[in-house]
Amino acid sequence: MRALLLGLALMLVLPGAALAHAQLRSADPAPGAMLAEIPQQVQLRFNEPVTPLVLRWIGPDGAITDLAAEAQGDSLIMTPPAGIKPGTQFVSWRVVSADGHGVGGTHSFHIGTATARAEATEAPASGAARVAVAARAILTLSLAIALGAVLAPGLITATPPDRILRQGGLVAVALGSVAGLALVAAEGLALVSLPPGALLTSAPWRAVQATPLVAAVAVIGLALGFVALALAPGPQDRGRRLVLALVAWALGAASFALSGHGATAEPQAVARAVLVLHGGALLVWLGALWPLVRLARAQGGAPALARFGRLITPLVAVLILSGLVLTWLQTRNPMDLFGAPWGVILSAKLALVGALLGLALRNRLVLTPALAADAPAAAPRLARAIRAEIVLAIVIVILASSLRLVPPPRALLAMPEPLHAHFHGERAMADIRLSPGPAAAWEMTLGVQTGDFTALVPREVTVILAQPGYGLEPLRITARPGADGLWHTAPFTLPRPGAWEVTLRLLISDFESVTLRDTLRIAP
Amino acid sequence: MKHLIALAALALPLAVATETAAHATFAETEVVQNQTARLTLRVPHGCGDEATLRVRIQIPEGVISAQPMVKAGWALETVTGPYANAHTVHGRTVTEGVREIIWSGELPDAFYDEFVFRARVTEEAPAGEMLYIPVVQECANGAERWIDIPGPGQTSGDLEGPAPGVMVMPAGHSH
Repeated sequence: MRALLLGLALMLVLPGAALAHAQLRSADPAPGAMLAEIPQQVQLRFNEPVTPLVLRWIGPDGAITDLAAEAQGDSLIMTPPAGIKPGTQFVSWRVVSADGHGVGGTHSFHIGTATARAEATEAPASGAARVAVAARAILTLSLAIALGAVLAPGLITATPPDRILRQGGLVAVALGSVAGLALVAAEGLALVSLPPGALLTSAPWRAVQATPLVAAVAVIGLALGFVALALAPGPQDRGRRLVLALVAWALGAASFALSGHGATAEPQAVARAVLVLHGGALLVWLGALWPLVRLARAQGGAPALARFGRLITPLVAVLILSGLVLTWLQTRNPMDLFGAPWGVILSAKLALVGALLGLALRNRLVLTPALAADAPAAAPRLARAIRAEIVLAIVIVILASSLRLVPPPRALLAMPEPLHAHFHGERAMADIRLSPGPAAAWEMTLGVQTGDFTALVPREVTVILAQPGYGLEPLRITARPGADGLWHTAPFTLPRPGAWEVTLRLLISDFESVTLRDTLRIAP
Repeated sequence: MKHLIALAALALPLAVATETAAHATFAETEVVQNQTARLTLRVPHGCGDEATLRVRIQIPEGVISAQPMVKAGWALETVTGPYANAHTVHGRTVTEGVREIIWSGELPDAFYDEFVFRARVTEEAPAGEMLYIPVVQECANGAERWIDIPGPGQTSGDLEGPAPGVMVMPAGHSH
């Protein structure tokens, strides 16, 4: 039996029918074509019939959709996914040719406009990304509720939390812990754009582990732990509860500076400090709302409510000021608040914040004095108003969390710096410059020399850009000699930032080529 | 478990075999120093879907006295030039010879053909190492170049256009 298998294996070693690799002969729309509208279909024509392995559509917002293709003779025909946004579209294809050899490439064209780089490189707004938004909002709200359950009675009435606040707070801690885990998992899935089943593999976890989100969630988890200690039942010194809750509050506030668009705005030190203030103020205010409803309905709550009003005023001022600074850091131009998705979401959030502030002001100036004056029905009216505040606050937190789905205007404005790199080999060296070109494209300029600095005139220069870890097929670009003695590529688009493996193939003579390879890091 | 190993044993060479099937290769696997070898270049396809119009073989240093076999339907020419080092064959000193062989004709992309030449492998080609012989297929609008020679730590499989090669056996080796 074993001998038979060995014999079979040996037979297979000997090359059988010699077959060609498949090659892409043409594409419709043509590479780099500018289309007025979304094409009915995308057709890739090969030199022989092929079997599709992986076909992915990458939209200008970075959303990745797996495509199904219909094979017709030598062609693959794909229908564009629904909901394509105008801009540069990429179709990454990998097929297997008749000889069983996989071949792949990335095809790109534009619909309506060539989009800015950052738009094409943002994290995809997949289902997983939406789960991440919800989890992020629940995480923030849970921490605020748990904190408020200790801090509000501790600071306003100098009492320990009652049983209902304690139990509610612990439920919030549990909910927050689940949301934290869900956030990390969903973010991982969104990063690798895989279905939920992939959570059983290491890919999404490895992807998310490299992001600052994990640190932020870990710090919030720590904060939840401290607040759970503060909420623990049994006799406990009020001071001890307060100190534990304040530590949790500081950690929670700090977590806001660890991840997200806001934390990467320039100047970063300012942005992060302001984020801590913003997060700290919002946690206290949000968290206080539920205990306040209970205070408003309790007998003799009026003095406590008045005291809350005095305590919260400076925090609200910090919240508003820090919010203004953050908005300015992200937009720089008030006109950005209109039009782009980021601006629409932020405008909606700001409008709701305005409404929330109006409600809070009315509570402070009208309803709380009315309660103090024992006006009829003052307590139910106040409780209703605070409940409305709670609803508004929840919507605001959800909107703030969904800002992560869309890039802030500053990311779209940023024009990348040209990159320089020196490729060194024994027989040849190359200096390359990768510079931003027109319409969101890149252009590469190359100067080549022999290993001992004498002139080298290659016959052909091919640049191959690959990102092996991301499942995109290599881009092949031919450079042409210019009058300046350098080699130039036509403008090309890169689907995403990060580390790109750049291979230069210099054809020295008919029978001699030199390959140089290095990695270039393209900033997002 | 045994079945798994058997499957792996089947699958591994299959992967290797398909990897090399699409490249230009020699039918022979080894040559012997100080002997004249017959080498058969196998050309599996054209440039993309274009027909091959010329097949060019570069004779590397250490390989001398190359002689192409005539081929019906193909015009044959050679380019001669000096060798880097003089060689002694049967008491005669050889300083120059064929450095390039060119067959011109037409081989449609869908068809397969073989191109034969013979040459003497000298001791300048180190025994126990692969001898790579670069080949270029020229078509009307492009070329397939089988000219990449693996560097340290590389194998032919890492290269885009690996040059076909044969293993050099030491002089006196016989089958």
